[in-house]
Amino acid sequence: MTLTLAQVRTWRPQVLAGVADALSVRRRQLLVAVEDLDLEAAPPSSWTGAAAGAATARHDELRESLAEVTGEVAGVISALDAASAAAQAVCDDLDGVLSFAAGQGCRVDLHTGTVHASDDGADPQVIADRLTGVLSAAVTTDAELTRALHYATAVLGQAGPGAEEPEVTRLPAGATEVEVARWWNELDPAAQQHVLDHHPEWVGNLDGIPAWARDEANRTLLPRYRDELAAEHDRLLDLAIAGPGGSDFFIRAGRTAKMLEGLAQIETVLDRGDRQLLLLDPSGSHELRAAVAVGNVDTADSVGVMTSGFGSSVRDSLASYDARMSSLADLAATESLRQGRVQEIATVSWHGYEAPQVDTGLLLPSRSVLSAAPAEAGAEDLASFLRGVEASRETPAHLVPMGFSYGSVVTGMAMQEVTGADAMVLIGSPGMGTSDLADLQLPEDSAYMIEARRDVIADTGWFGGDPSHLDGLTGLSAREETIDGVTYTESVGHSNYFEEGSTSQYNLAQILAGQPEHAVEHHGRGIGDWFSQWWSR
Amino acid sequence: MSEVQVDAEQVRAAGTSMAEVGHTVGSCTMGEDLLAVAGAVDGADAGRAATQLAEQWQEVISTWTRAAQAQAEALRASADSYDETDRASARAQQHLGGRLAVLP
Repeated sequence: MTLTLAQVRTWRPQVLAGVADALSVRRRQLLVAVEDLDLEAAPPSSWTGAAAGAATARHDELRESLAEVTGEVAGVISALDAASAAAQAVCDDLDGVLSFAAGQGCRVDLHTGTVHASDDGADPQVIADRLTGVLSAAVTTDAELTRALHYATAVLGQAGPGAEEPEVTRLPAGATEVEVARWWNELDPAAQQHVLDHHPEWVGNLDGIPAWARDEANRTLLPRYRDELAAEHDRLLDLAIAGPGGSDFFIRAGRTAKMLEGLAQIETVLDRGDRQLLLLDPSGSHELRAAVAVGNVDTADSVGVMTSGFGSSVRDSLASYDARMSSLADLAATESLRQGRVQEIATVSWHGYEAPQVDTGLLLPSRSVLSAAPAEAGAEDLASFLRGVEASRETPAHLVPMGFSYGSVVTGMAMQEVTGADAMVLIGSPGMGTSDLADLQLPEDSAYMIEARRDVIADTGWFGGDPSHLDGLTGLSAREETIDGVTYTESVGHSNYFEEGSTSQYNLAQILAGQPEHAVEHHGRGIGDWFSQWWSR
Repeated sequence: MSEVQVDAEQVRAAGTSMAEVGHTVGSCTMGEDLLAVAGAVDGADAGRAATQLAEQWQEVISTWTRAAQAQAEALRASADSYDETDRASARAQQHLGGRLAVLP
């Protein structure tokens, strides 16, 4: 149903707040009821025997379902409070725009949104744009409240005593991403919600599941993992203090502490809002694995997936990568708009592999930055993730994997599998695992690289040769460039490709937006490449 | 066969409390509160979603209340049954005691 400004004009946000207040009173009653169930109505603990067992089981079921209902009421109260505030802001904005329009002598048709200009030449487009913004905010407010209410409906459908458990067919092991997507789509909404509530670990990291469901599952799992890791950390410390093998336990406790800090970083990033937690895996031997999207991966027209490089970790790098991806998504949307295209953009900070670190792992082939082994392992998972994004969506996205530094090795290797990617960008890359572009499963002329001056890492060509010498890879500029009268800055060295206002960020945005014709090309070769061309041969 | 221990009065008291809790929960007419949402956001999908949830809440609360009353009845019936069994056992013991008294 299409919302009109005339309808929004009649909204009464204070009623939503009033309903929230009334529900708060009800919720307190329910909380007291739950407490009474525990203290007064429970079968006496001294009562034993078969009848006592049956009565206790029934009591526990009643208590659990009432507690669940109470929890869902709390969720609805929060949603109503948020909607009330958002709706109030929408109404205030609408009043403001209408007052402004009246001041300009413009007349607004609230049913169609049409602005009729005044005789003295006031620009109606400015007012129309502002009204579009107000309506868009109203639609968002409605969508968020609707989603919260639908969620509560689905949960409560299963909460009542005696409610039937939905039938969920288990997914066969080894299913492809397409099979996973089909399995999920064939579950009815109640069964999907049952999986999310009772088996979030099935789907949080499962490629082929829609992003919204992965996000919901992983957000459920996050506090659970935090509690488990905290308990494990304490246990390891006790063992370290208690007896032999203490140093090993200390090291393991340190890793666990690092993962806990990683979880805290994820929570910080999620608090920024408009995020999806698409991967959460604390089962790694050394590093927490995670992926966080900015925007909505299920619906975005273009989806960029950035793989981090050497020394990166969820704890130390996620927050900065996420900020960069947020800026990149904004810029890509802006650049699209400049070309007359309205695009929804999502970007993913993918820390889905255990990146090589500056630690004793440098000496181990399985974990060293000089070894391709970590990249090979990561490439397999990245390829699966990308296929999963495509399989889970109703329509394919313009999908652009990007890899920075060692992450570009992961990305290049992943592109040697069929993923559905439409373009790839290697950034400050020491290689892509092959020197032959024919190995890449990408559309023609859609493999790009960016190399800044004095980026010595990108000149090593350690993994299949320096990309700046490979035929068929299109070089994008990281130099200072003036485009349409705007001067973009140069990136120098290995670590400045994502700077705001830089040419490299501008070029990444153009590729992400599917507008390569507006990117600025440059071969990226410098003095370091003069040397690297010899060892690349 | 498991050992059975019971204080019937405690079981009966639990049943009485359960009935009271059921009554309290039954009076939580959250669905009625929620129906006001539809009138506050004309044209919004949230209005229909709120109405749907309101009906769901009414049904859940009603079902829960019936289940709580059934549990209360079951607890009180168990207590009555234990009392009756106890009285019957006492009568049997007394009867047996009377017969033993006539033995030499």
